[in-house]
Parts: sequence; structure tokens; C-alpha cells
Amino acid sequence: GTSKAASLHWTGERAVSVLLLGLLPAAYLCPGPAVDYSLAAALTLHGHWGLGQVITDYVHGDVPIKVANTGLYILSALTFAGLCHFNYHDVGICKAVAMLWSL
Amino acid sequence: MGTTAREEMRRFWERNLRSGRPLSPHVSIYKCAPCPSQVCPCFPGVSLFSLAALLLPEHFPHYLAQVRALSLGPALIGSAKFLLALPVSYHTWNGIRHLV
Repeated sequence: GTSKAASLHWTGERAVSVLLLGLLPAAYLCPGPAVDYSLAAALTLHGHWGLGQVITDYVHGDVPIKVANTGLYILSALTFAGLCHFNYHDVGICKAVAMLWSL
Repeated sequence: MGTTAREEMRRFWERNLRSGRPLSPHVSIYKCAPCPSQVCPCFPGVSLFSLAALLLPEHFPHYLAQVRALSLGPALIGSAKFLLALPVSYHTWNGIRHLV
């Protein structure tokens, strides 16, 4: 049979986008660790999949694609780690944006 | 047996590259700032912030206090906020448009 992987990926991308959209008012109305960590996860996944599509569109050739995707995984892993670190050791994403905007 | 998907992909790319067509989706179709389905400056911005969070020794309020101490003036601060908010908003609106 055929694999549903691609269409599931597409649905997943839309789902995460909608989730991220919903997190924005949540971050404004009830900031806190739950929203902070959800934002960290949703932002990283959304960006990872998004850049993955950019690679698929613009990068050609087996080796360049592999190299680009590996680099992307590393970047996304670091981004997620950094955001979680920020949430844990520092003020957290919601508070940081609020503080930045009150400048 | 028929050709595999990989074989067909390879043939497609060989023929395409040989015909010397321009890059597609072509980047010039994106007018002022890129639309969400393609290149976006947001994720590199988030990644840079995240890497800074990992690497810089002090905490966020410390750096914020430093920026405040610079006394940049409302015009500069306002335009900096605008420059930060602009790609995020553009990307978000385009994303909504894309989702609907």
C-alpha cells in the first residue's frame, strides 16, 4: 500500500501552526511556565518543519540535502535547548517579551 | 516492473537541470518580505535568541537593564520594537491566510 507519511506530515504542520497561533493570546492572557514550554516546543517544531520545506524546495542533490537537513536538526535541537534553558533558568518567554515591550 | 519513485525523481531533475531553467519557487516572487510558506527571518531570529540564552553568562533582566541604561530615546526604541514585530506579524498574517 501507499505510505501516509507525507499527508500526515502536512496535517501535522497545519496542526502545529494552529497551536502556535492559539498560544499567542494564551501567552498574553495567562503567562506562565506551561505556556512558556509549549511555546518553546511549538516554535521549534514549527520552525524546524518550515525550514525543512525551504530545504526541500531549494536544495538539490543527495549529499547537499543530507547536509542541510543534518544542520537543520542541530539548529533546531540547540534552539529548543536554549529556549527551555531560558524558561528554566531565566524569566521565561512570556515574561521576557512583556519586559522587552515595557522598555 | 515500472520505475521506482527515486528513479523518476532522478530523471526529472536531470532533465530539469539540463534545460537550464531558473530556480523555482522563484525567490523574486516574494515582494517586500517573504511569505510564510517559504523563507522567513523569524526562525533564525528565534535561534539566535536561543543560542544567546545558552551562551551568554548573565540573565535577561541584566541585559535589559543595560539596554535601558543606554537611554536610547523613544524614537529608537519604538523603531526597534517595530522592526522586531514586523516579520512576526507579517509571517503570522500570511500564515493565517495560508491556513484558511
